[in-house]
Amino acid sequence: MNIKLIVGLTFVALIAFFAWLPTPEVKTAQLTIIANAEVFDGQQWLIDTDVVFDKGMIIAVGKQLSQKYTSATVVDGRDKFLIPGLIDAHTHAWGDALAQAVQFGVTTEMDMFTKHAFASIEREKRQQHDQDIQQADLFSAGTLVTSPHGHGTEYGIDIETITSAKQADSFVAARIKEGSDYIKIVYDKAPKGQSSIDYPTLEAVIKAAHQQGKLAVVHIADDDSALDAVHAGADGLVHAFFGVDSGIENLGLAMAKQQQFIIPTLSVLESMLAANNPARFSQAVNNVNMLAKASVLILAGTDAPNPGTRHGASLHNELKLLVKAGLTSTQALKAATSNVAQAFKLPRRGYIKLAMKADLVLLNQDPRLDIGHTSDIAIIYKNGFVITTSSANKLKKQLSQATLLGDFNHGINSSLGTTWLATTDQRFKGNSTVDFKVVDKHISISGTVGNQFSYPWAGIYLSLDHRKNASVDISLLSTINLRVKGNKGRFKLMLFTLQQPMRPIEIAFKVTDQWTDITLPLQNIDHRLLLEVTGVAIVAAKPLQQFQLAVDDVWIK
Amino acid sequence: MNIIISTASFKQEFVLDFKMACRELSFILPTLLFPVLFYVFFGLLFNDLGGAGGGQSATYLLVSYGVFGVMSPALFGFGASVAAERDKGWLAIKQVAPVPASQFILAKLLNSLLFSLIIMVVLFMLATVFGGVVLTLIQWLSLAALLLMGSLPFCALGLAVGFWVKGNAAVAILNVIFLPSAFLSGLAIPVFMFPAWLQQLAYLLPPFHLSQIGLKIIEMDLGQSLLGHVVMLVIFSTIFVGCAVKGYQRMQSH
Repeated sequence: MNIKLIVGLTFVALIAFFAWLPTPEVKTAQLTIIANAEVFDGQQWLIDTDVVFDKGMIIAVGKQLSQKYTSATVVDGRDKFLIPGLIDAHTHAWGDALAQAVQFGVTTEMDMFTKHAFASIEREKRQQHDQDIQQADLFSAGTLVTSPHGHGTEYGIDIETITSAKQADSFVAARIKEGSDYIKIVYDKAPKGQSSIDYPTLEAVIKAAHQQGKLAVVHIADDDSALDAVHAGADGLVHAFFGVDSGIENLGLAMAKQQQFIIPTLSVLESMLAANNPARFSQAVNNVNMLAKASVLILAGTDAPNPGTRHGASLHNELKLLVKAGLTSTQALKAATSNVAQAFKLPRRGYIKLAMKADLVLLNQDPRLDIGHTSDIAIIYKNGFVITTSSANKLKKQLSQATLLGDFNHGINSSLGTTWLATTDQRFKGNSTVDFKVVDKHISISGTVGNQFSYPWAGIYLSLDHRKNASVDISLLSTINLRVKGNKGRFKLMLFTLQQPMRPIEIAFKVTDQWTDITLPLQNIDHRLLLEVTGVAIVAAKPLQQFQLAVDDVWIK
Repeated sequence: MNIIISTASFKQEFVLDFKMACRELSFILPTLLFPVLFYVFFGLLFNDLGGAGGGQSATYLLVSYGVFGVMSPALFGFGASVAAERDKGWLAIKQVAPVPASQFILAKLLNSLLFSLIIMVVLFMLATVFGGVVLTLIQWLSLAALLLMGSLPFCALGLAVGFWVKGNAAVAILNVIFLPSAFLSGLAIPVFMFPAWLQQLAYLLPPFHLSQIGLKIIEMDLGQSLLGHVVMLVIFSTIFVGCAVKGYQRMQSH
């Protein structure tokens, strides 16, 4: 027996064995060509153009490039519209904000105040040009600059504040040390509720930021504060402002001349004001219109995730609002791409050009015809990788405005074309019972909550879509409102979501023997759960046994 | 001990030892079959049934039963066989033979590693073919290296028992050490599913530390420091080697 041979063969076999063992496929951004699309390059539209990218970067833009790059994966862009990945110029990012944003084609977020620790972690990923990160890149102001008890201190994040102009240099230096990409300042000339830094401090902080090589952007709410910020040399304003000052035209001219930009964030203003103070909202829209006419650089920003706004999704709404404020569709697209890159001097994004990041959105329909077409997305690329959109986001059905689920004036149908039904735990072998009828233009429910199923319920249920198992995205809505009266006790509203099939979302509410208007907020619910809601139920649960409940005017708003 | 070893006689010793081990069914069956059977049952069949791990358990348990697998040839190949050979008088003959004792130890050690290697190859193959386990080449190689290296403390433990205890008693004692310490170290059921007090006990067992290093390679460990696990294993090894040396000296003086 030749031991050497055996040992040698064993070694060879072992090497072969380890070579055979399966290893994960290394996903590398492939050489890809999007052929024959109409391309918005950040400034202008190019017809029938090919865009080639590799390893996360655009390597060629031109005609008939598929002949040159024969090994490239070809994506047919005919009758489609390719735009740069969108940039939301005003957000507050934490948690999975960046992953949410990219699902809607927003490939970069400009954060205007978050925990600097979060920003430090996420900021690094924007350097990974060729990695499949499936999330938006982040630029962040980190900690904002505000006075003690000023705006920004109310969110339970313990932040350093500034009290005098003398602290400006060291305060800005501390922010830059934390990693801030730019400095965001909160300023209110005539503070009413919350305090504000004074004008000398504002001026000193802006100067300090400039000396230390950073942009300074200012949060303002009214025209007087806006004037001060512009006068103090701010690089940009991060909200539209209210007021009907005749000086706004001059303000616009000054801003245009000094190349100061504005991020109107009409989305968040709309959600705060459109319903209860439309006049004030139109002031802001008009002011944006005037600034646009004066050629002030306008950037699209949403202020997501403030009430009524969502990361990613709301930027499409912001574009609509900017068009409403007088921008053309192409100007609106610039506001969400090249304008932001120009204003914040962002490297490698905002344009479809050589050596830009392969952050791209391919649209099915022409956004010049209707800016709303930006949300009809065929493919999203981030760093050259296709974003795998969750099925929820592909669903077109989305409730974006207040919808009546039942006023019971003419029966038990909802405005969605579906009908209220009885629901109990009997399908889980429970013994709860329920009965309901329409009485005097409301629905009257009576029943018993049983004890055979561990989580008993009895009540009424409404599908949000007449198709079986179809779901509706209600993530843009913020409350469910209803009028109730009945036995004193605890009842609950349940939302059934495909995201969590075995566990409905439950929101408890109290009932008294008087008619009461109840507003149930949806903001605290994980937004993903709201993407695929199949139905809503109003039920009695333990420990009620016999119960009576009258329900009227059920709205989702 | 004389450490100069003649290659020719070492080869003979090694081959002889290997053949002896192969002929010993009571050694070969439990050593080779148990880890493989356990892995097939808990790691693959249960995994197939869509267990809680959701496909991850095939990977997790590959490390567990890998550790389990290398423990058994180390403990029994060394411990039980040394004790048996001592009973039969083989050891005495070898001691008076003109070869150093280190040759005998080294041949046994290499055989134990060889068996560990066989078990490992079988487990890796099952894991990839039936369990869909995918690791990077670095992970595969580190895991293999770890399992081979990691069998050394158990070799020392086996040797210590083999030198101190008689044949049948050695097998019994090794079983008492082997199975409970494997289970209490979380090789069958992950440690984090134990009650808190039982989790504390795992820290005192070498298989726990070895499996944690293995799980670290596949990023499924409890997140404790690598150095801590290594230090614990070194401490255990030192104790076991110390006991083995003492046992050998005691045996010679008898």
